[in-house]
Amino acid sequence: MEKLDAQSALAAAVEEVLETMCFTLLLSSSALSGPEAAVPGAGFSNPVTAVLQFEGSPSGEFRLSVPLTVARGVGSGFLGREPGEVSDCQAGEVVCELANMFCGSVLSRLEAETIFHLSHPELAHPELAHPELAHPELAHPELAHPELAHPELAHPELMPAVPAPDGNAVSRLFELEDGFFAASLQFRLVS
Amino acid sequence: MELNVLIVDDSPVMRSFIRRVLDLSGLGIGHCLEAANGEEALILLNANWVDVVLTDINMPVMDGEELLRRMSGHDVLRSIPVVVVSTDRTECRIQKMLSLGAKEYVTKPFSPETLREKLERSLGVFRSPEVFHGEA
Repeated sequence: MEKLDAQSALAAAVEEVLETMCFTLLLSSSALSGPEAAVPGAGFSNPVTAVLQFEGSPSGEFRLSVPLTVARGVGSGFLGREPGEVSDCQAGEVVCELANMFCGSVLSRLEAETIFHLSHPELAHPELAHPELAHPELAHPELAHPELAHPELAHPELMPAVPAPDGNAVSRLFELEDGFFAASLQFRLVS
Repeated sequence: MELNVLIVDDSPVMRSFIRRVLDLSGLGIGHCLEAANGEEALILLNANWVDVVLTDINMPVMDGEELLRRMSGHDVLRSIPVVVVSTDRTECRIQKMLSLGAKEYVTKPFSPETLREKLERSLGVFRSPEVFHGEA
């Protein structure tokens, strides 16, 4: 599987879901690499992270990490409420539902003829499980990624392929009006 | 005539989203019942008159496939149109659900217009004068 294909599929799936279901415009997105890609969003402030497994060909894991304030903003679009009316619990449920839709949409773009079985998304807190990956600078990704300020990068299909951490994962950082969130797709190696 | 709808999805926020879309659809929604899985849906279907069922596939306890099988094997419930709402957009899955008795299949993500169109199409089959009014 070409990494660039998976990157493009991830970018397109996220954009489609946000616009269609949350009435939210994606401002830009960029591929992540290095430690950031290993656990995307590990350094976000107060992140809501949903993880689900998918079985099929290929199999693997999908991870979505959204700062709580951003999750409330996206949730307000999804639920038709003001951000202040979206509870922490509802923000978590919206992130889980988004993870489900993002993953399903990505996989169908990659393998249209394959039936995948998706597990129920579970909330997780990767920065607690991997404290060494909680880089403070990632709480402000715009500082770590000045290239996001360049409008030409709002078109992910034009971006060059960025090496994945182990060659079997793709990770992206997404920018909304309220802030940033991250998603990754980790494919399981078949021996 | 207002429509009574049953939404079957294990995600409370997805049920809320669908409910909001229905409220804004102009279809004239009456009672909007909710179930978190197929088993809960069958209990509600046996106790309430429902005009159309919107169901997810991947749910705990009883999934959408089994719900369709049970409804298809029931003398009364088999006449209720079912619209499947799922992230799975593979053709073989769509064909399987349609062969089990689903009237329409909507893939997530979907626009409010798409859901309304599929609902109307499913109800158009069901709401012929002989069938729909004859049940009253």
